[in-house]
Amino acid sequence: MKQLCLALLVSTLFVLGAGPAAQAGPEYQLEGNIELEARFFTNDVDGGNRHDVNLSGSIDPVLIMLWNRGKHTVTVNPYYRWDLNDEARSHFDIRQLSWIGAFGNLELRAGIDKVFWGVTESAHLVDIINQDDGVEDVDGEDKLGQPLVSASYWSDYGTLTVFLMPYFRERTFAGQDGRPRGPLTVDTDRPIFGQGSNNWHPDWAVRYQNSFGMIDVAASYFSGFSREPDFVPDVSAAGEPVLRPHYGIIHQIGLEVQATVDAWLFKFEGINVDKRDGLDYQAFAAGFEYTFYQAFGTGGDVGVIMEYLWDSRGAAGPSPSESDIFVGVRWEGNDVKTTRVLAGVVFDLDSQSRLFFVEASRRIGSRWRITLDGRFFLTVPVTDPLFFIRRDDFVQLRLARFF
Amino acid sequence: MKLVKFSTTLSCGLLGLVMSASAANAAGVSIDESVRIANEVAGKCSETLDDAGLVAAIEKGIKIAMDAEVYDQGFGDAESEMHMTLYNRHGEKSERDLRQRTLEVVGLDIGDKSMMIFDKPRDVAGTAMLTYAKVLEADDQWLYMPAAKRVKRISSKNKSGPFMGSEFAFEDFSSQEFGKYTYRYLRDEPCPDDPSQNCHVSERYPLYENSGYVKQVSWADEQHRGHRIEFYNRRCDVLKVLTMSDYRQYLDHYWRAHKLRMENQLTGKATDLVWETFAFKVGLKDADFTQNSLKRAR
Repeated sequence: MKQLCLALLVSTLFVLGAGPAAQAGPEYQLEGNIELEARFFTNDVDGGNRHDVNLSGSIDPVLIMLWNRGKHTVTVNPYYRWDLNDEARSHFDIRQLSWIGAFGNLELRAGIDKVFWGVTESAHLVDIINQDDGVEDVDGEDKLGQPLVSASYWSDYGTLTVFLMPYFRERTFAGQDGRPRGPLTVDTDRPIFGQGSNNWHPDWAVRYQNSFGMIDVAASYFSGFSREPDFVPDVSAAGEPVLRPHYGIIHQIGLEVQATVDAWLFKFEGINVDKRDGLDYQAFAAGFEYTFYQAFGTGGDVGVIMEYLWDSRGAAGPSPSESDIFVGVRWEGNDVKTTRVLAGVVFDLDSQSRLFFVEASRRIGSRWRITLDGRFFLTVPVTDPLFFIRRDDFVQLRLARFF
Repeated sequence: MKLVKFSTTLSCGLLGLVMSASAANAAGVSIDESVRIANEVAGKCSETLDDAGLVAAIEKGIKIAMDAEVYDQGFGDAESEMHMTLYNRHGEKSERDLRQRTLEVVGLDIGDKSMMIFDKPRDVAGTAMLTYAKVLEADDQWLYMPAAKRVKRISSKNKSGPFMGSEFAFEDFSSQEFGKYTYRYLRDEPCPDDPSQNCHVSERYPLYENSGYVKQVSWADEQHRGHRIEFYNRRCDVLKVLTMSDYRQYLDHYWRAHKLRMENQLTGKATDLVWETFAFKVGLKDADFTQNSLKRAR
């Protein structure tokens, strides 16, 4: 990883020097934040060093350099988290270190970057470019930086983008002392690669996107290491049972559709995954979002979200969402403090387990934001993959200061 | 979004809906329909209109608005930086910084393309919104969320909601297209903030759905510059008053107000919107208003 970073840094600086520097010097922008997080677990767990209270902090600065009115930009975004109890959660990443060049209808990117694909809220099935930074949070929203080169061409016929990803990032997992985590630790020091013996592999993807009136559509194809590992039971050097992550080669076809009709958003995301070493599977998420504007006579909006999640691997598979319904409510205050609240429940139709979460935040002053989260795993039977974190319900308070 | 046209078209835009030099349709609304709407609003607001002069008043209103629309055409593209200050009843302040880029799309039946980038407060910095404005249909609108690097297509039905918590509603910001209203001329009088100028006073009625206003009354001078607009809510109370000032002329032709002040008459809150820079014909193209350019908006 360090060699890669160095190579990319050098090449980025080379591009920097060769091209845009020919014009006027860069404009600088600084974004990002520093955040403190306190977690309170509502249940004790036996064994090990796993506490009921955790403290953590992160720093996420983003430096953007612009040339020629934004036609060329270089973005540098290192990230560091420190965790009091779990040393596997303390980690450093380069979220972004990339150059973006706009040449008329063509956009080129090179470096470490983040790409988001998708339209649904409760699951991001199609989103495959970046690996999950699993230690950050359980919702799969935090990603590790992905080394890539991409070219995107926009026309009246839509946007076509090709990606080449030469280096694969492994998923991060909570360590021995971390909460939440499953019953066995994941041995991230000893991954198994389904192809070759290391992270270097030319993964690639292509995506086509277009808008037709009120409908936005995107179709994508990915070939390379699955970002989601299978787990192989093994024994650690100390003789303890562990799980080794196994990353196999897959080909994924993805489809995203959204129809925007008045206050309704109708959404669909589906994938078909061919696993070279294993059984093929399909999954989809479909639903809607409806917003009541200026609800209850205030300036705020209330959004109602419902989505159905399905995975062909069924109850025997690794996904906890093999046949689930998500119901969520979103409140956007539209007030001076930009207050927002999101609450949701995921019902598992097969196992009857329920996952409830709530997230509320507002600005304090002009540069601070306070967020209160809660995640609760309710009535999880032994057959559900969530069984092992069912006692890891927690409430989390975060305070962020923005640069 | 057409803040660029905001000041001029708002003032003149209150009047009439004339598609061409002759007093006829504009965006599909006939004079008869305009008469009907004017009477309907008058009825709601417990006023009676003088039928004899009504058609003439509507035609004159349409002409004044159309003249302003035509006068403002041809600016091509524009880029501006804005600073917004929100005041509550006690005078306490909150600040917002934003930038806007606009690409003029020629045609009375379609609106402009625009992008708005938020700089302050810092927790929303990097957020951006892309709009393909329409006239009477809902705009196509996409929101970029920088933390997730996600572009989300959003509903643009919400017109009357507050923009960034301010006293400006989304509809106050969005493309002030001539075709969105029908108009009725009221009278001439000295302009409220500058009695040396003569202002045309007119009423205008939103034709698009989900507006929070039953009507607006505007003061615009002979040079198509707006001075004041009163916004009436659905109960026919004056909800807000907008004052436009600090006009500067660009390219020897286009007038732009550099200060807008919106005062909420019911709550006592106010928002100042000040343009710090304005540049026309900066060379923007369609490729600058795509989802790709939204994701790298700076």
